[in-house]
Amino acid sequence: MDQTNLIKDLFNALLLVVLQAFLWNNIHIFGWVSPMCYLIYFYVHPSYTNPMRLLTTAFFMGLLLDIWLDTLALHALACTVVAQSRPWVMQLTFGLAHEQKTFRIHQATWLQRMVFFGLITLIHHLVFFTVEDLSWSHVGAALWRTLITGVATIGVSMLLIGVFKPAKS
Amino acid sequence: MSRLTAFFSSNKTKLLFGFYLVLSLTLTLSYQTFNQVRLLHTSGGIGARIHETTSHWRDYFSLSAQNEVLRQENARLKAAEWNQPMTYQTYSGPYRAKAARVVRNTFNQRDNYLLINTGTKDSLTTDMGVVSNLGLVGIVEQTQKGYSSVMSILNSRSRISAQVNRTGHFGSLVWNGSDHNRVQLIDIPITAELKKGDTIATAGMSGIFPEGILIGQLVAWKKSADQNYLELEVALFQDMSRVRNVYVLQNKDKISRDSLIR
Repeated sequence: MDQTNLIKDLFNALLLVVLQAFLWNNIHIFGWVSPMCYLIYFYVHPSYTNPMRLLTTAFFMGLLLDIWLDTLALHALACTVVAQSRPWVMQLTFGLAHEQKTFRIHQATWLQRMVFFGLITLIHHLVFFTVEDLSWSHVGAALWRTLITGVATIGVSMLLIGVFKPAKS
Repeated sequence: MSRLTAFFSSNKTKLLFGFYLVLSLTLTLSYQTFNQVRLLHTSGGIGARIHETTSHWRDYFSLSAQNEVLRQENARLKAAEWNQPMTYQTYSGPYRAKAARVVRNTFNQRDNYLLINTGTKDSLTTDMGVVSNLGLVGIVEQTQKGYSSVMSILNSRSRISAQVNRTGHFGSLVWNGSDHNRVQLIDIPITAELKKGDTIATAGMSGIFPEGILIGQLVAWKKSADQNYLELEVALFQDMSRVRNVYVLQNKDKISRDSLIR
């Protein structure tokens, strides 16, 4: 990743954190569900970048949100796990195609993109909600929150991705 | 040495992942397990000021709704004054109320907190009760000069003594994390004769809240896992997603009361 792309990437991360803190966190679907649309970062992030850089950006992006939202280090933890598992999820969803430098996620089929973002969201929310409530007696509640928040996150994020997708060249 | 260097070089991503994982888990679990003071709290500094500014603008757009809430509260207080004039004019109880504004509120997490715009400069200390005009809100957990963080009743660590007003049976008010409009009153004796619609209020056992502050209405109950007690489902009077103006209760007798209990 060259210098320009690095600055653009950090700007994307910061912008998504600000939008999550001030906008998406104030949306309460069914009165309590706030979509975590900042996960779009893992969707738009290029596939061929240095994994250590992605891990570091993801961790600090999560930590910034944690400080703002008073969520201990839950976002940092979930983002770290997502950053580490992202290459595996890409392999599973797009096959070997994602290893080519010319690969662009918006060129994949709609279903592939949906499955990719769905898996990223599932991993993030599962980590977030199970660690948030570390108790066997509340596993059902954690899974329920994962499911409902996941549906909200995927719904709102895919809508935003659809609206702001790059024009076909 | 070269093998060690080669090991670190070939596993640097995994090691970095492990480092961030352990760091974030430590930050999260140390608080959850050992009840340590939160390191990442925003009860002061720039974060609190930004929260106050955003809250100020949010309040500006809900002025008419807030006016209506205050008008209703005023009507209730007037009715109380007219019905019991002597109580109000000669009040000498231990509790004093300090008005505060909520600048930040969470209600959709497992452990929820509120940030209010009063702190040590207004003589606030930890373990003071926080109520709204509609009922119980939480307990002050941390204080700084201009701000305090309040542990909401929607928090896994919150346990407040409460009672069924009609029968006088008391237990502990907890939250199971599933619905922010409902809390649970546990450890109620199985012999209690309950009715749907019974009001639940504070029991005044801890000295944090006076007796009789309204909490909610009984909507359902079931036997506890050990079959010896009842677990009551209580619908809150205060919608915890819309708390704006609160009162912090200062009990001037609490220190002497606590010293006797110890």
